[in-house]
Formats: sequence, C-alpha cells, structure tokens
Amino acid sequence: MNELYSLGISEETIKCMLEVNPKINDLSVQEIVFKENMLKELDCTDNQVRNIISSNPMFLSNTTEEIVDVVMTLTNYGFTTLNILFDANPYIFNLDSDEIKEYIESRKNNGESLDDIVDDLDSNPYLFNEI
Amino acid sequence: MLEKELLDFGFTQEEIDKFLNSHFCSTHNHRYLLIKFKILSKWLSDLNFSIDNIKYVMLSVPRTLGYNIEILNKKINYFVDYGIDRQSVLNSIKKQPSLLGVSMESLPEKISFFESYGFTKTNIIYMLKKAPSIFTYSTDGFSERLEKLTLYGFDKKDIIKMIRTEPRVFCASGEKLYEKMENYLVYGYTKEEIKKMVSIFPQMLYYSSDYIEMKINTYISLGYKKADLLKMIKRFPGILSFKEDFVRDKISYYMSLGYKKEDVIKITSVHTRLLYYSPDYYNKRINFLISLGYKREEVISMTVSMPSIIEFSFETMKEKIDFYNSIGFHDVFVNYPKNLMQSISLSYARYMFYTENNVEIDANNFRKLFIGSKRIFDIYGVTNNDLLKKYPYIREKGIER
Repeated sequence: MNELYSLGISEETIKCMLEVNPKINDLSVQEIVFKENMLKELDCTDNQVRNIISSNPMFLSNTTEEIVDVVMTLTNYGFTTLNILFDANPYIFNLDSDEIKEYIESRKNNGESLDDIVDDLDSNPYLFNEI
Repeated sequence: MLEKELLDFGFTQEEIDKFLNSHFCSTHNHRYLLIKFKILSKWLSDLNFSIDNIKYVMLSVPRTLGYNIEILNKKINYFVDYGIDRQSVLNSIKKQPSLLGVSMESLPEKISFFESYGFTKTNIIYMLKKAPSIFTYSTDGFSERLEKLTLYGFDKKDIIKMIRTEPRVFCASGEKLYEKMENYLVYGYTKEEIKKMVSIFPQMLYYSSDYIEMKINTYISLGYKKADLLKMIKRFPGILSFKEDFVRDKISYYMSLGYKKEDVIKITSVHTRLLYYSPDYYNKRINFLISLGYKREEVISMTVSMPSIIEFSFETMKEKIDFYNSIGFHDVFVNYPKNLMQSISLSYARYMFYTENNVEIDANNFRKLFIGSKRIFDIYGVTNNDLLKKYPYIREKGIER
C-alpha cells in the first residue's frame, strides 16, 4: 500500500481502489512496481502511471501476458503513443486483445481504412468502451 | 438404552430413526453403538464441537462411530503438521464430516497429487478450508475432473487459478462441469468465451440452465435488452449471482441521484462495473465533481454521456478540471464530456503549441484541442509525438499566464 501512496495516490482514492479490486491488498510491493515499470516501458510519465493505476485498479491484477497482449495488438495495428492512449482510457487494459481485433476488423470489413480507424480510436479513446 | 441416550443428547425421534436405519447402525448391535456413541461424542465435545455439530457428524456419516479415536487424532494432526491451523481443520470437519473417513494412507497421496499438478501449499490449505469435500475424492476423481477441464480447453494455469479462486467448483464431477459449460452455448457464446467467463467467475459452473434462464429473464424484466445483457454477462459473469432486489435497489439508488431509469439501464449496460460499486463510492465521486464547480444536474448529464468520468480517480478528475479551468474550458465539458477523456499531457502540449503559434484557444474554438491527430498533422505538419516531446506536461507547472 505504501507503494501506492508514494505514487501520489490519496488515501481516499486507495479506499475506492480497494473497493473495485480488493486483491490489491494481497499484492507485494514488487508486483506493483513491476506493473509500474511495464507502464514506464510504454513511455508513461509518473503522472500517467498514477492516473492509469488509480483510475483502473484492475490493471494491477491483470497478468503480464494479458497486458502485453493488448499492447502488442494495438502496436501491430499502428497505435504509436500508447502512453497517451492508456492515460486517456486506462480501461483499455481490461479488454481482451481478441475483442479489440474483432472490433477493428469489423470496421475494416465495413469499408473503413485501418489508418482512419486507428486515428478515430486514438482521438476518441472513449470508443474503446463500446467494444 | 441407546435411543434414550440419543434423545437425552438432543436428537429428535426423526433423527434417531434416520440414524438407526443407516447402513452402519443397522449392521451393529445397540450395545456396541451405545459405547461407540459415548466415546465419539466425548471426543468431539472435547474438541469443542457443539451438540449440533456432533449430531451433524453422526447423521451425515454414521460410520464415524466405528472409527478408532487414535486414528482420528492422527488425521487431524496430519493436516496440522502440513500447516493448517488446528481450528481450521476442525472447522473443515464440522463442514464436511466425511473428512474423518478419508484413510490415513490416502492423505499424503492426495496432497502429493495437487502439489505435483502445480498447486502450492497455500492453495491446498485454502482448498481444505473452503471446500473440504475435495479431499474425500480419490485421485482418480481428481484426474477425471482435470481431464474434462483440459478437454474443454483450459490449460494448467487456468485450472489452478480457477480452483484457487473457487475450490468448490471442483466438487462437481468432470462430466457435470463439462455439461454446465455447455449450458451457456445456447446463448450464443463460443467455447472460448465461456472459458474466459469461467476463468473470471468459476462460480457460474454451479448454475443450472433453469437458473441461468431465470436470471436473464429477471434482468430483462428490470429493463435490460437481452442482447446487451448477454454482453454484460460475458464481461462480468458475476452479475449472474446478483439477486433481483440487489439490482433493483441499485437502479433505484442511481435514480435517487437524479438519473432517469432508462439512463441507468443504458449506462450500466455498457459500464456494468457500476452495478458493483457501493452507493458510497458513487456518491463521493458525484460530490467531488460538484466540489470542482459543477452543478448536480450538470454532473448527472455529463456522466450519462460519459459514464467513465465517474471512474477517474479523484486526483485525475481534479488535475483535468483544474487544467481546463485555467484555460477557460470549465463549461465545455457540460455539453461535451467525452473530451474530458483526452490525456492531460496531450491537451497541454497542443495548447502550448497553439499558443506559441498565436492560435487563440478558448471555449469558442475548444474543438481544436481535441481534433484527430491526422488532422493536426495535415494542417500543421506536427504529430502528437512531436508535440509531446516539445511540450512535456509537468503537473506542478500547469499553465503559466
């Protein structure tokens, strides 16, 4: 829990995080730091790391494979500033990579170009909530 | 004599009849049973079993009367030596008296079976506490269940995670587990989707097809569309466990905050997580947004259009609103709340870029801050990456006027 405080997350927010994801209590400092470092590998600033973790507490319980899967899927489709994307919509991490693929492929099948779809999602990250 | 002893102990006549008609009691004389009853009830009483606990042990597993007390103590000590606290072992026996019937020889074999599969000691101790009946099955029984789950497509890691989360799932036979998963196919879920749902919420394997159908109809009667509901269940299968009153109360609660019923249904169809949150959680966030200068009806309207706002942490909400207030955008989000989602880093970088290029940004042309990255590149020849590198957002710095 101290690790979350050191990120600049308030006690009130931590209480809410525990309500959403009680398993946070069982995580070790190393596990939390590992997840922070994964975000930093995506060029997330400390601020963005704080935002992502505090707004989407489930992220801390996602497995490494699940996180890498989502990141690789988005990267392969051409998303570049993932730090900005996840900072805008941290809940993207809760999606299945297959769901993201299905959504994008469905729009492609409707005639949209991949470039336009990526730009649309990048500029309107709330669209991921509709997947 | 035996019947009187049982009556004095607290058994009802019905219980006595059931007990004496059991296979074990009907094959032994009453004198023997009386002696064994006294020995076993004293032993259990010394272990702080209540009268009800003792009756439950004897009625569930009458053959416990035939067990040697020394051997029973050895079984308890075996689990204690393995690392389970004594009280938990006794509680498991109270829950599942047939644990007393598991042979001493088979205990290490069963533990070893789980350990070699990949369960840790902590997992096994948890399984014993939560679902003690697992230890009454043979290792063949374990194998059968694991095989059926593997056949369905679960790998070892999934199975361990599932049983670690909900060991009671393992109490059903492999056939039954398979059948329960197949029940969900009729709703259009693929095998892969069912697998994922079960991994998230193994308890859904308890549910019969009638129960599932009843739950779906309950949600439909509350106002949810079937197609939306099936998506909700796919993402949050735990909602199958919610009682009707619980969901109804949640809907009523959101309506008491100012939402219309159709808005609550619409929001929770997409943001099903909101059904999990306590009133306190939601209330705090509404009040926090109000404290940042929005009226209640504005907050309600913003969160209907963009429910995700309510899930931002307090720090994130404040940081965004403070920044946008500093550039005169406070009222923009009442009508265009979706723009609040954009990363502050990007908004700051674009704002600084426009300012340095003498492009006035205010509430009248706010859209410039939120246009697509392709458009910014087409007009100005800069990418988001360029802007973020040139104008890094530093939280404390904010906007200097």
